[in-house]
Amino acid sequence: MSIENNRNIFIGSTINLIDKRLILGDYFNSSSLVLLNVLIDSIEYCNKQYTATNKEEFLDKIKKLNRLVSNLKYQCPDICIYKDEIKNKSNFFNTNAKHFVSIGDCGNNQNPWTPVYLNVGEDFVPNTTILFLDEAKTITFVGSAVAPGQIYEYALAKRVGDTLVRIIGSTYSITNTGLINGEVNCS
Amino acid sequence: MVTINSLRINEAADAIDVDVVTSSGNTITQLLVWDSKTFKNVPQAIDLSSLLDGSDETEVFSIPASALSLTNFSGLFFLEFTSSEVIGTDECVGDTNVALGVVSNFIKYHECLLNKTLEIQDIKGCKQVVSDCADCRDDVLLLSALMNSLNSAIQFGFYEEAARITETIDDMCDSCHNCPDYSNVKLVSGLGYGTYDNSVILI
Repeated sequence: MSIENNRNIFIGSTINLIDKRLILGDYFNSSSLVLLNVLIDSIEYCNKQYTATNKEEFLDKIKKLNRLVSNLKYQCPDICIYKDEIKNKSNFFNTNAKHFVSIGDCGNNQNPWTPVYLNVGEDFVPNTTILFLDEAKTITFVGSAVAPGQIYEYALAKRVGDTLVRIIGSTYSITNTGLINGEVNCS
Repeated sequence: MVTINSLRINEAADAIDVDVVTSSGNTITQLLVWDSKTFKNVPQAIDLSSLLDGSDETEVFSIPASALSLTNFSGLFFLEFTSSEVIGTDECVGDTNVALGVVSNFIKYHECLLNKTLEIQDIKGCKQVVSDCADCRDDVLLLSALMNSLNSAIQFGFYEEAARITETIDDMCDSCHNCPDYSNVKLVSGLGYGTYDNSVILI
């Protein structure tokens, strides 16, 4: 779970709490939000230390803290009510986010295709239509000089329902209703 | 006038790097250092004036931790520089030939908060589960709030309050008795304060 996602959830939960406060006055419990903030701060501290020291122990700590954040998100209604909405917003509107389309990323080198990164929030560029070209599962972009093995940037439309990349089995195509982040078939 | 160009604890946290200047033709004549326990208690100040060069208006040097009988700089430190310049007292800022700088290394507090956070075993509903320790559940939230207060106090120049908060955090973390080892962490950006152009900033 990225720092960005955690912070998105935190902001969303804060707004959620503010909304509740407007309705309920002081009859609400804010401790879960405080706890989430502490957990995220600790994750960010570990990230800083891991970046500076490269010590594995911080990765283990991040893993445990992420698990606690995840539990809080899924078990605490004050946090998780807002989760899905925030997740959707971060997928399509956050200009800083990059979404990895794990083409062939099955975790076992079954299908080692070149990964493609999508820039969320940028205008769609028609000339960057992705085509599946051959059995070697090389990915190319129409109108671009590209080489296999590179990580390519791909522009994504701004709105939900606009053109997205969908991966279907060993081929993929551009659709109007597809999903990102998944749909990988490793067969 | 004394201008603290830069004042910060180095990355290894074993020295304070000092770059300070006074008006042309004058020299820095005195350097007093306090930690959070002794802040502004003049008899308890450590006089490090011997480290001053005194040859011109500029002083650039390092204060080793050993000068304060420490192995490294951890916590909050105040350094007061006095110039030989003879000037009046400003009603708002006091003696204008004196400048107070602040440096800090809050790794021990971040590590303490991290360790207390890692004591959370699980989440049940909206609350954390910490075994065998009824107070620990509140400790982590209070400690986090105190650290936020500490940051605010320093940023707004409430140094006496900051000193008191550090004492409380030290007490909660029991850092005086635990002798924790911080050799596996680094003083990276955002974990301490320094002084630049007489302004205390998070570095």
